[in-house]
Amino acid sequence: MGRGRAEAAVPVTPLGGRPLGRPPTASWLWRGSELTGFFFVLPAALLVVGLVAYPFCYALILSLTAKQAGVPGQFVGLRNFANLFGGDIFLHTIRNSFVFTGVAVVCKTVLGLGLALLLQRAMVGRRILRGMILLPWVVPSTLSVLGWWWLFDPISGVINLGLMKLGLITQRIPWLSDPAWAMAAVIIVNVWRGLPFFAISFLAGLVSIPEELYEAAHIDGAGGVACFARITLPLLRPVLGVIILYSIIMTVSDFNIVYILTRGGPMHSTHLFATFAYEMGLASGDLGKGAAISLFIFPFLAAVAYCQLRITRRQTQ
Amino acid sequence: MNKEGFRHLGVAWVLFFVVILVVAVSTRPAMSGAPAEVTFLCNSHFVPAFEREIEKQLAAWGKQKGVSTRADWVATAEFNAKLVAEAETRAGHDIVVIRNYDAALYKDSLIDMDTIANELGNQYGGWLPFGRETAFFDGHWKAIPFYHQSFPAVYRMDLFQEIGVTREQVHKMTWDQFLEAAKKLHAKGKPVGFGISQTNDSDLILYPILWAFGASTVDKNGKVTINSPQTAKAIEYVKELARYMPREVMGWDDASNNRFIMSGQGSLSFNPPSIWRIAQRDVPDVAKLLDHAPVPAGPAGRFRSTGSYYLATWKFKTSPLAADLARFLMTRENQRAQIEASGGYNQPFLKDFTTFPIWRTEAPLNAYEPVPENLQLQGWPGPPEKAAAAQKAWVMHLIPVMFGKAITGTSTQEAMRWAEEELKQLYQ
Repeated sequence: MGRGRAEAAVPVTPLGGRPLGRPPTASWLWRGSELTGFFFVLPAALLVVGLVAYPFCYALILSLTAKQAGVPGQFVGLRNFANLFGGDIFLHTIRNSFVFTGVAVVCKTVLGLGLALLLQRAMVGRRILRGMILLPWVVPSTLSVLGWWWLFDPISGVINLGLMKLGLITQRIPWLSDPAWAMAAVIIVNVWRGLPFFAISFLAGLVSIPEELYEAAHIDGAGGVACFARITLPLLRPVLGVIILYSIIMTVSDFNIVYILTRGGPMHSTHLFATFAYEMGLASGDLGKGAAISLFIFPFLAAVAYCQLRITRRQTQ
Repeated sequence: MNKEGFRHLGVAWVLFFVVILVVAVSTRPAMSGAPAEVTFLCNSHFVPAFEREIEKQLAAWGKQKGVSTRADWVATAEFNAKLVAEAETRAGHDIVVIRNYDAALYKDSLIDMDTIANELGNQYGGWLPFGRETAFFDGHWKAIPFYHQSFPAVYRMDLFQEIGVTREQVHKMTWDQFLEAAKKLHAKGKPVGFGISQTNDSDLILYPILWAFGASTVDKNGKVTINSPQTAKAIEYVKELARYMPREVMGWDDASNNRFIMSGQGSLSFNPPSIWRIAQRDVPDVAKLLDHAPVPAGPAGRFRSTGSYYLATWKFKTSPLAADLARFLMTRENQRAQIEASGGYNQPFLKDFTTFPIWRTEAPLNAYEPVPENLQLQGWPGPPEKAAAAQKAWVMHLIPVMFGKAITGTSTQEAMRWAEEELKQLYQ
């Protein structure tokens, strides 16, 4: 007590007004800004715990058990993960996921950048055009993919009928029945859906580049390509990095497009981690294996997310 | 906002969450004390009139018992996930309609229904053998066989007549004769077609082809037997047949064969009579040319497969009225009304009901019920304790994928080896 009194005599109150060395009291907590901060963070923390941390931990536990729906699971360690490699379907799924993600993200980046450069130019109806570009992004994916499924339909699909009418093909393209074409189809739809996000994000980056830099470069005799390579790309790099990494996470975990268009077929040639995990876990009731499939990609996604955070932090600094 | 204002806002947030929590907790007992509602979960039916009939019967039963009833219809593709969610969360409907070998998959979560199953069996001439094989596990009826929908051939009589094949000949066809007919129809621009894709319809015709050639996924002891000379013959046959079918069959979904026949592009597929019924409504000119025939025969016999449905109740839903509702839905009058509402699409499991007149009065349904072929489910002839593995093989469409691989360039031996490895993972 004596020491407390001695400390109280020295007015050191660096944190929230609470003198150092004294235990927090109820009245201090009520008045203190620390508690206020806690109240503000609490709802978000509860949401994160309930909607992210708990499902993740539960999936982790499931992946370590031989769990069938409706009955308690037995702990099997890493056997579910090891068993995944015993089947050819999972190896296909890994390959499909990397092909799908790689091709789709490259296409979205290149086309998105091109579209952003076009949208940046002054033209009549630019604002309307920018709004319309966002349509594929804002339409509910289930609806839009169903539309694509109808376009690809082998019997009455508009794409094949249109190409045949134009004389560009003589035989119908097996969009959803050939492994290569089916992969092309799901990539096309993913690119179509993701392109607006890329374009608008890149556009935001482009408009933030000072016009004076281009003017100075032109005075120095730089052409369009040189301006793009020396000014646009370097200054757009942080935006490019964040968007590409974000898109990798979203693309590799895509579900709707593949599930609606091909259900992973033909012959498992378009299965991604999410669709195969769904088939194994929810359709077959093998929750342990389903969880193992969905968690398999987690280290890769965590690394991507880490890189993304680093880039973001560097930008803010 | 000043410091005090922030503090009040923070407190308001917490109070808001506390109120939400209290409301959520207090609602549960209030709901359990509320007037009883008996709920029924089923996958969507291809013939919507069946759904209306079930809802009508549920309402009639509810009126008798003084309870409200509710039927929820879930799309077929999402139905398995819905069952898993109910079994896992231990919350759901009072009666669920489960499919194929689901009773084996969920046997530990289902209430035994021995009393009602035995009563119904005794009252209506007994159950079809495969009804018992798919609902009776560990010495108990885990579910009540409700109805099934088998997969005969649905074909255009006029097109077969044009190639010189009469109705009687179609009804007695072998797979070899079928191949010859397929060649001629392909030449006419009116090919035959069935799915060789990751859909239920594909399993429902490719398993009977396997069996017809003497092959099967497993033997009676549950040993994987897919890698066999008989399977090789079946694969070689389908590879040859696929040359005369549209390439698109490799990507068909469960509705593709409907469009194939109703659009007039196709001459034959395999499906319950829903194509014919919908054609009667939408394209009557095509409907009057359609007929159903038994599946062609192979060296080992003539087989047909079916999609089957069962009434079941979860152990965690101890509704005293659920069993009574199941019994009500299975009475002669109600089964007859259900079957008629489905246009003869639903087939009964109880032997007495197979004599309902609907399949006799309409000629295109003559070969549909009673089933003249050997009627089996996908896991046949495996033992009951391996039924869960059979269900997974079906859900993962391993047999259609095996055929698909062989058709698209994988050697027959390699396709069989692939299927063997995948099946062993499930059956071991």
